[in-house]
Amino acid sequence: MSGGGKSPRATRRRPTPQAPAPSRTQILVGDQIAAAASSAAALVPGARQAQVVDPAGVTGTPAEQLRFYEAAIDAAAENHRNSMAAAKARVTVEIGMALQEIRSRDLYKVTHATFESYVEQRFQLSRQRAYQILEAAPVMFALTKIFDTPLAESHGRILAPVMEQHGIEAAKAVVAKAQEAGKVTGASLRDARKAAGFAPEPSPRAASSNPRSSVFERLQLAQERLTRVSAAVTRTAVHDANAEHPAHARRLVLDLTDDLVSIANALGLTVSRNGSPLGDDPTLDA
Amino acid sequence: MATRVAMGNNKGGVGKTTVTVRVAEALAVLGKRVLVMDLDPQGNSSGRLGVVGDLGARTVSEAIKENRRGAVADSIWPCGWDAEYASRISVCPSTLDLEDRMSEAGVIGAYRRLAIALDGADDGYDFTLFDCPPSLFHLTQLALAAGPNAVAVTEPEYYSIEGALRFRAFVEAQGTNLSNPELHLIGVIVAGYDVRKPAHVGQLETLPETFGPLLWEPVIPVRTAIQDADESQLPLVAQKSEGGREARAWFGQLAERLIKATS
Ligand SMILES: Nc1ncnc2c1ncn2[C@@H]1O[C@H](COP(=O)(O)OP(=O)(O)OP(=O)(O)O)[C@@H](O)[C@H]1O
Ligand SMILES: [Mg+2]
Repeated sequence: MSGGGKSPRATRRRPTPQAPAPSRTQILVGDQIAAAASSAAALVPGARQAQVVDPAGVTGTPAEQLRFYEAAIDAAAENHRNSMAAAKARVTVEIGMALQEIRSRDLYKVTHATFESYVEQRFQLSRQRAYQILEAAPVMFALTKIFDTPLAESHGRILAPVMEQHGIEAAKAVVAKAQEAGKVTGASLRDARKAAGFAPEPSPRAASSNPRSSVFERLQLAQERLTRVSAAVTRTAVHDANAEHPAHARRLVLDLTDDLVSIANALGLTVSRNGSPLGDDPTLDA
Repeated sequence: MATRVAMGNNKGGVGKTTVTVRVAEALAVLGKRVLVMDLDPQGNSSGRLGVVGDLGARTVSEAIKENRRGAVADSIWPCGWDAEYASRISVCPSTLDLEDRMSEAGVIGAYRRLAIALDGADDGYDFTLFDCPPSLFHLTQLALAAGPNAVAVTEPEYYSIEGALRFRAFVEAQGTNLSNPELHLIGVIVAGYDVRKPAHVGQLETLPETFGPLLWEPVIPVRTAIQDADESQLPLVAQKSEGGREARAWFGQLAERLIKATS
């Protein structure tokens, strides 16, 4: 069936295209695609799926043999990277889409007063982390239906405002453009987003959460202040201060109150200056 | 059911759409009723057949998505040309949305969706021609699962011929996997032959040897009239030049060849 055999004429310089050897045609056909997809899904990899090079098939010079095994190692590393990326994307999408429902249907109220305390206590997710996941998941989920390569969560956050403001087609176009430019990276997505004229306007939530953006810094600050408070507030110190310098004692109480309010803020709680709780943080429910 | 013919080549830009549209036109001139299925998200055959503007949900993508017998019937448009025979041409057009169907390739049985959606919908036609995208993946497989006949379109150029050979090998090997054991290649159409290109002249010589009796006559040379008709989304009959007249004759012969090969 291979029509283009060797040319009998020596004068012809132009090569004749050859029919592909059947074994080299590796296109998935019909339900083979579905089968491959489901085995790929099952293949967040275990040793059971390991593909080991058959030593009998490795021949040639030592350098050739070496190249063979090195290729196997490169392929394993590549497989690892891809599997990790796919698994991470899957976790973000699955958690994010569930959290979204828990929040929008107020289901967290079954056990907790606020969504933030719910995610922190039930899943040990900081509020910051929970909002990151919530932001990235919808666009990542929508794009899984279009692109084979899983989107990194950080890429999801770059695309989230595009989808929110311009729809999924716009987000898809940005990814396609980044793909055209070569590899999809944070930088290439930002460039594509900019080139497409989608300004990275901060979403209202991003704006309100910006001052809180570095949880780590805030916690550090809070810890420093707590250390100061616990060092300063000894029973004797308060007693002496009150006896000898009532004005200083009042000052000390005011300072301590300031410190406590800062610590509370750092932890995302709101307290009144007279100590009674105010309830939820209004900036986050908005 | 109409005689279904998928026009393909693994390589892009080799004249698949031009040949599909002009053979459809020539078949209509011969009195045949033709349905053109645009399976390329680029939507070139839709546009060249004058189906433009807002297509709403009446596209091939929606018909496939519905996954219902005969769904194509709701996505059929009349050819937009102003010509008597144009009334015998219908189009199931595509838009970029057709890309969305690719994600369904991983669903069991998805490759049969177009065959199902066409069932009954092309009964009123003599021919259904599928303009395939330059790929052998899902969209082309949808077409190849829907009918027994395939035609490779190629330029007389190395990589294009290689693409045609890949298409032929695929068609010959994959009928069973596509639940369509009758699937076979009925012909190879050579288009875009540019006599000024030595490479074309050289490769043209090799084609009879490569494809044997599958090679159809005549070869379609490059003509400004053909490109003009494509670009202005007009029928060839609107091309009053000598080139237009020649082109009509060539495509007429190819249409007759197609009728002969499928009757
Ligand atoms: N015989 C010809 N004479 C002049 N121009 C031609 C001829 N055949 C094709 N063309 C032009 O060449 C270009 C590519 O052709 P066409 O769109 O038919 O290729 P294709 O294989 O369908 O491409 P794709 O893979 O993108 O679908 C078009 O602009 C078309 O008008
Ligand atoms: Mg085309």
